[in-house]
Amino acid sequence: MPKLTIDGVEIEAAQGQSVLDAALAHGIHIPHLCYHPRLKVSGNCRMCLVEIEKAPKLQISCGTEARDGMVVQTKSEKVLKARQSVLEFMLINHPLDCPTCDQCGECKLQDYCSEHGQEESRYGEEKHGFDVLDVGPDISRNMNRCIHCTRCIRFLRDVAGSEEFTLYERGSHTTVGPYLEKALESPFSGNLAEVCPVGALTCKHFRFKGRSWLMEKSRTLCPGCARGCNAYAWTSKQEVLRLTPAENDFVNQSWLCNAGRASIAQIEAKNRILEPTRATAMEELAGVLRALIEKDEGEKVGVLASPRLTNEDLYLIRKLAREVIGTTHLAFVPGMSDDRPFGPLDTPLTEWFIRADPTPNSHGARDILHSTEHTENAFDLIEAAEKGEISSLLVFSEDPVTSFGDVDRATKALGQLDFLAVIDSHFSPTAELARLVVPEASFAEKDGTFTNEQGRIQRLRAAIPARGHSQSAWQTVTEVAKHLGTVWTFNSAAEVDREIASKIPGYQDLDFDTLPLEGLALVQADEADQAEAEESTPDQDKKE
Amino acid sequence: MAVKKINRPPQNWWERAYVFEIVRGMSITMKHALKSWFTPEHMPIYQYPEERRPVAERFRGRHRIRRRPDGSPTCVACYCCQTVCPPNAIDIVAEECDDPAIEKRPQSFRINMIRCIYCGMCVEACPKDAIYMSQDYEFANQTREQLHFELEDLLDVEKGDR
Amino acid sequence: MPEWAQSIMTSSITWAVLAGVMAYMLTLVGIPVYTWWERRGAALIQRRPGPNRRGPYGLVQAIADAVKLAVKEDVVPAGANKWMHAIAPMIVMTVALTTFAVIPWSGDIELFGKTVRLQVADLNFGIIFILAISSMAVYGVTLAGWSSNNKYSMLGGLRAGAQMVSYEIALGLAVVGMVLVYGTLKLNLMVAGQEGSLFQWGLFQAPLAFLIYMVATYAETNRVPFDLVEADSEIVAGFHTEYSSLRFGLFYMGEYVHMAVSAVLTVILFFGGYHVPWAHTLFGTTPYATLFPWVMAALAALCLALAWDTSRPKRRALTQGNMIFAAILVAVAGGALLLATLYGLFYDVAWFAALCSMVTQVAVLVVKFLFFFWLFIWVRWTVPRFRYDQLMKLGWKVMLPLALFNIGLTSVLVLAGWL
Repeated sequence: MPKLTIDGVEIEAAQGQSVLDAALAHGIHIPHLCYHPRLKVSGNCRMCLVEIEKAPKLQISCGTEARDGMVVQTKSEKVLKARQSVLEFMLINHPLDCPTCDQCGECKLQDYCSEHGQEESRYGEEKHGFDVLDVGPDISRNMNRCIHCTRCIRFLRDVAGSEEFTLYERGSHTTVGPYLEKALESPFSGNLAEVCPVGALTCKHFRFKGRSWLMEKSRTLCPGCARGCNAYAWTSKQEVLRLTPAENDFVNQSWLCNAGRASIAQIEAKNRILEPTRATAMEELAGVLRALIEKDEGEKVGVLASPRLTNEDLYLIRKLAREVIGTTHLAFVPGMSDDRPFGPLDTPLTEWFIRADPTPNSHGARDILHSTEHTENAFDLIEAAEKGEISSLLVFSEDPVTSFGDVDRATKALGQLDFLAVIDSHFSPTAELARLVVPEASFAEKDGTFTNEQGRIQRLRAAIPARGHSQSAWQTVTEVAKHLGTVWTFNSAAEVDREIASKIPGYQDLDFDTLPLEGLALVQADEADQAEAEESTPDQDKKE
Repeated sequence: MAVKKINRPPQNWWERAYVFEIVRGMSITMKHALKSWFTPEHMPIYQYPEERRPVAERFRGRHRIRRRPDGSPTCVACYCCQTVCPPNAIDIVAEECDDPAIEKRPQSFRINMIRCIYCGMCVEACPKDAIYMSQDYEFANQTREQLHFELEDLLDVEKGDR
Repeated sequence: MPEWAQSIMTSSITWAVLAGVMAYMLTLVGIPVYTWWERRGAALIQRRPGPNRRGPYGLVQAIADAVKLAVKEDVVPAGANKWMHAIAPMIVMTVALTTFAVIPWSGDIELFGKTVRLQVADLNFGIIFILAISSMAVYGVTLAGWSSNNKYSMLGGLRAGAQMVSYEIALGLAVVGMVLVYGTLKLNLMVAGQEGSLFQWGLFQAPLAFLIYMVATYAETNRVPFDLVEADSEIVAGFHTEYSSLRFGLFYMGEYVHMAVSAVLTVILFFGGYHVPWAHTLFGTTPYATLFPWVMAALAALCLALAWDTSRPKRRALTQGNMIFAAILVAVAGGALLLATLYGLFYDVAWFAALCSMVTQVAVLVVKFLFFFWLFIWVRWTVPRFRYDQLMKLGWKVMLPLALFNIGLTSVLVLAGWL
């Protein structure tokens, strides 16, 4: 392990680590633009120049391997002077349009210029201007602001696995863009907005929606697939303006796919359910159930849950079905299984990142609902309805009419029911058939946990208050259960989690408040077997 | 309760008699009354609607937003003023501008003049020198809503030169 | 002159009615002017213009205020004694107006062999009548304070009761002194007693009584510095806190009528009433008739000066309606000059000369009255309000002994024949 001195502090670096990495790891910030911890080193911006003793001139710290005995100066006069000059060169053609630029506040160039740059420009010529070029629906490109760091090129080529961007022209005409003016097609192109250190590539969906410093961000989860990518929900005036990736080495590294970013659209979707059918919907629902329970016909109630719901929602739905109603007709729609490795891998994102299962909590649904004696498939419920085995059906965040496959048959089967209630955040064909519709909070409005495909429990945080009269399913269930005469005292998702921890195998370490940022891996029933299976999977892949 | 003793100068018999001091006071007030009656122009007053108190050059009155020569607002909706505004009186919504050279413009720019404390921070913060504070202070109104000034209320009356 | 006209002119009823009209002019018609005067006076003392917008010199402002007051909601507070609440302002106003009945506006004049005088009722206990009636004003104020069911009103009413009763004694005793001096209770005889030299005026006959009388008068009318009854910095508005609309208006007018009575009475008791000092010495046997053209000339000069002032461009005054006002002033001046000319033509017609001398006497009285009215305003904007304990101390420990001493002194002087 090489030991080196940076700014008079002795540091132990990892073998093969660059000076910049070593410095950053020890809290010494060296300005850098083209360097990105998850991209290959390019070394073209010259921003991270440092003075290394016995080296004839300044060296780029990102491209210099840390060696034993190195003495590095990052704040010497020579370094500062060099930084100032580098910035001055960059600003030759960089427009001073920070007021209009969406990167403003998150712009590295802006930060470094205010820290190291000169007060005034010495450049008297006209700045070079570029034509506007549309590069697709997700990213807006402003070539004037580009500093040619090639981060975007490297990201698309090495990480996203689609070599769509390149450098062409020369000198100050150097342009970063797609071949043959093609639009970006990568499903990961949204990441370019974060990869670009300046405002050359910004998110089109977020364009002019807000300023970074005026928004609040809360760390939550992307509900788009079974990966459970960590994300920040950026909110302003109780509106989610964008979803950006949050670092999690075990799940999504620093990336988020375009579809995941777009999932915020469902919060304000036109078909959002905001009000219950009637103000007395809860009492009515409870009334129907009570009548059945009193006739000892609880078994005739079917309950359909969804892997879109949080573990807390699912657990209380199960509790309601089993303990209060007393039915065995409890089902959920299982997600598609994915035989690709979960990752994170070094291979391109397209090969492993987006999961086949589009629901965020299939694993959790399996854990919680299967941990009981008997659970049916959603399709069994439709069949049960056809046979008249169930007379009432509660549907949580699902659309069996569509997911069953045969719309006519499902519609007919549900039409035979005496009572159908749908608790969902959006209108669906099933909700159209329902006697009662109760609004459900969207992912950005509820607290809870998801268990991702890998079996990692992660926290979903409410970024905004629930719209209209919507609420989390666990709250709805608790309310109904109270009307049915139970003494449930769940006031928060955390309280539900306490009961989950004691009742569901594998979840015993779940503690809502101390859940680590990177999530909590499930305690498996047969840990040794599972560990072996996990280890063997990537190997098998490689062999194949 | 604490009592504070004030040592007043002792009064002589003339002052204690009170009547004579009243006469003295009345002569003073009469002097003022006569002065006011015969030389009203020297009263230290402004007859408000006709006469205005001159305001200082740097007076901070209602906000104005400068126009470009084509009449559009100079503002590019950078939110700087909204950010610095201590009482959060400014509310901006940005939108895409048709002119690619300008790129961004305010879709709505609202200043809540009831909240505003006329500190002038927005003027300091403006990178485009678009917002300034005029010397106009007469915008009293009937309702609170009318004191939420929109972009059209704030725009300069005349087209600017910027 | 026909017989019927002579009988009308010599009828005591005619002159009683005219005296009533005179009182009416000085009170009810005068009130808008007084309120305007009070506000303008305050403003001038405080170096500001005061109401100067509506009408010439802002005179119409008072009418606008009156209209505003009249159309306001008439609120009777919950829990108030409605009957008493309604009757209290009436008492104040009625009492103040009634006292004018015995005020002599002029001296005796000879008309066709009969002696007439501009006075409603020549009661032989005139001054006692005034004291008796005006002391009833305390009922109005106290009842208003009590019936409003408001603690501030109650405090105001209580203060009024104590204050007016306390100062009534000093006032009465000061008047007793004057009764001793003049040897009569009739007001017209009191005025007649002050004919002749300036030193015949009550002021010089009994200066101490004058001082006590003035102070007590201010206390009786609840004017500054004795306005503890409505002390707005302490008890909101005192007894009339719960009054609005015209009921408040009655209190407001009652205050000004009360001031007017006090001012007239001061003139009659101490300032020679309608007499001009040394009139007989200076202007011959019929001095007031001789003075008539001069009075008219003075009136005309005043009107013309005002007309000039109104019409000249000023920095701040608005010119709205001022030309009409100037025209009216010029017309009045013309009328006065015409009357002066008529006197020049018909001075030897006995009844005409007698009428002229009566007008002169009324004018003299009114001029003196206006000064004392101004004094009320003047004092109000000069002297600060007394504290309540100071008020009581002054009333009982200073005024009462002084008044008693004054009676003794005056009695001795009268007995000694020096007065």
